[in-house]
Amino acid sequence: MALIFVLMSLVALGYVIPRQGTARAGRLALESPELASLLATLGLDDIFGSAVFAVVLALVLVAAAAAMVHQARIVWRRTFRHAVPRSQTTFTTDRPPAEVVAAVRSHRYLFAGTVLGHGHYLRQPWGLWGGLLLHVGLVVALGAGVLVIGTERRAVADLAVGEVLEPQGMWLYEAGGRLSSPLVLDAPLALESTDPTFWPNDELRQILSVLVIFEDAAEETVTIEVNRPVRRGGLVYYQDQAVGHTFLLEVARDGVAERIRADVPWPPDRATSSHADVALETGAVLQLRSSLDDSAVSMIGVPAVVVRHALGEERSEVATLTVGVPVMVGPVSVTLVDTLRWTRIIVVRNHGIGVLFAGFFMIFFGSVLIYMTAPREVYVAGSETETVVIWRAFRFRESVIEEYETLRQELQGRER
Amino acid sequence: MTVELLMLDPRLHLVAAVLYGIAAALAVLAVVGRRDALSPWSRRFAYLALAVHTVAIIARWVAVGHGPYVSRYEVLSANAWVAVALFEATTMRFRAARSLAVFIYPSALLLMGIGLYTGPEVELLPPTFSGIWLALHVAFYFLAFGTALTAVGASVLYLLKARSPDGRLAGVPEPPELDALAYRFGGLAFAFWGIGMLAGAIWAYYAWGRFWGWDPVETWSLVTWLAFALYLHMRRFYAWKGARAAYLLIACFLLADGTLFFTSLIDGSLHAVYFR
Repeated sequence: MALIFVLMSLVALGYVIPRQGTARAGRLALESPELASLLATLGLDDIFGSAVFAVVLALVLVAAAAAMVHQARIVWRRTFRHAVPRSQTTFTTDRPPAEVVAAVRSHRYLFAGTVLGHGHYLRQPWGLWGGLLLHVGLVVALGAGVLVIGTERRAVADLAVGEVLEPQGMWLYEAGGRLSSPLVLDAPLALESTDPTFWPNDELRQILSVLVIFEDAAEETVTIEVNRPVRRGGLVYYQDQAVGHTFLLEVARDGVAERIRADVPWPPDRATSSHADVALETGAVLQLRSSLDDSAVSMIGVPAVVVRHALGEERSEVATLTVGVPVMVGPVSVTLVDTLRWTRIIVVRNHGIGVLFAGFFMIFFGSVLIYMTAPREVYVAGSETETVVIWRAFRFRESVIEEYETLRQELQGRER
Repeated sequence: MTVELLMLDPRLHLVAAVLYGIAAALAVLAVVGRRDALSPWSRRFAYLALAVHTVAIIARWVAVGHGPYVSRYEVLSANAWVAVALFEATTMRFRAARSLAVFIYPSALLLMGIGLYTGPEVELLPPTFSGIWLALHVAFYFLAFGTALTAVGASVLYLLKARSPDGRLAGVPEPPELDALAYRFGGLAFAFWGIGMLAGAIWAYYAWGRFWGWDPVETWSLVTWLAFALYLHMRRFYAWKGARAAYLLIACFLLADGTLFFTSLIDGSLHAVYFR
């Protein structure tokens, strides 16, 4: 119980204190650098990644495992080891045992065994297993969660159409658990096409990308969409929601030309431009602004792009780029060589997902068994003159006590 | 056809809200005013409201092409529908819980009213909004809210009944029974909330390639689930019952409301994309 409280407090605290790398943390660093520094020194700027949080989670796992063993003992005892309880809900009746048993069974009680001359009957005995199933599910889900988090590796790449990503890919970003190794693709892959679709109000509806995987001189085509990843081998390929236009530029200065690739996000709507900056070796920046063409009848079309040169506070005039036509922006000549599309894909490698899902289902069915059922038992013992009926509910007694009263009235029993 | 259905939808919602209001008034008169004869009429109006509400939800679903889980209007409407439908279904078995109508029907009216106030504008689905796990995610949160509402209704009635021994709430079950109902429905809320959260994690895994990102909604959803776990443990292992347990459950419910309806408005939340 204390562990639940500690975990709950840590999670709440982890939210209240801005986490490192977030916008809130950035604002705190600007507004109160001393406090931000103090929090960082105390390790409070990343509670979820802290050793304390990991220890608490580990203790929760141990506690859940202990509770699982405890629950297993209880359910075994209640289902298979029959012991006549001392219950206040006991009555005697003149009816013969056979008649009493028939009445009990008419209430959907199942015969469980005999002990010390008492017949033992259970109703909804499967409900007894709910606690065990819930705790097994918790242990399985927590254990698998630790495995997944520890071994998962995730890498992100922005690919232009036709671009090939080699197995030791140049990832835009790569991260993983402490037990994970760098992500290496099974084979080179290329982006064959990427096609965004939009709603009539210009919002993004879906992105469909086709990847080609080159393996052993063979080509395999894989289609991915947002929320529809593809698992291939040990890797899962996801379509991210980032998409845009790639402008291949030739930038020349003092007779020296270099090829530059500028990935600009897709314009957010027909009336708004999108922007991207590309750094040059000189320390200057090419600022690109992309918008949909003048007709603007849909979100799909040939993008118009303009460029300017920026160095420090100096800004050149804006120039419109047309394929094959060089324009001067500041000291450099810029030529648009080609326009392609780009999109972002995510590649993930992990282990234990199936086990994790199995844990979820156990938790669900365990919870349903606990709270949707009220298992109870009846012991029936007969003598020459009377039959004793002992009734007990294992939980939610108040909800089912009516059944005991009904049984007693049916058999005209006398409370003991 | 689509335009007609879209125009019909808020009118049907308004009719359903009025019917919930009548059902609520009759339930209060039946339970608090001790006019038992009104109780069946309250249920009849609730059934009628539920039927109109069902048609309204289906009409909107057909018109906009997605289930009731994108805009605030849709989410509140679905929460009200699930709460009432769940209540009617469970009281077929737990007859003692019928008097909780004094809590459920007004809550449905309130949810519908706020939903109508926010407006029935149509929002289109972002690309991440698809798949069975999203459906399970929202469905289980609706179920969690419905069961938590029933549980907190039992707790509130417990507190009122325990403080009014003069028989003003004669139609309400005895306090121990209300206490047991609160425990049971609180447990179901815990289970449904947990499954909703886990289904959401699986959905996030398919949509963004990660299970958990400590998003404000995710974080407070976990805190809420742990709070319900705390409530259940206090009852099970520390024998908390009665008023103490009722107050703790009410606190859990308020936390759940905050998580469901307010944390998604926080900047930077993935959920803010659709719920703002």
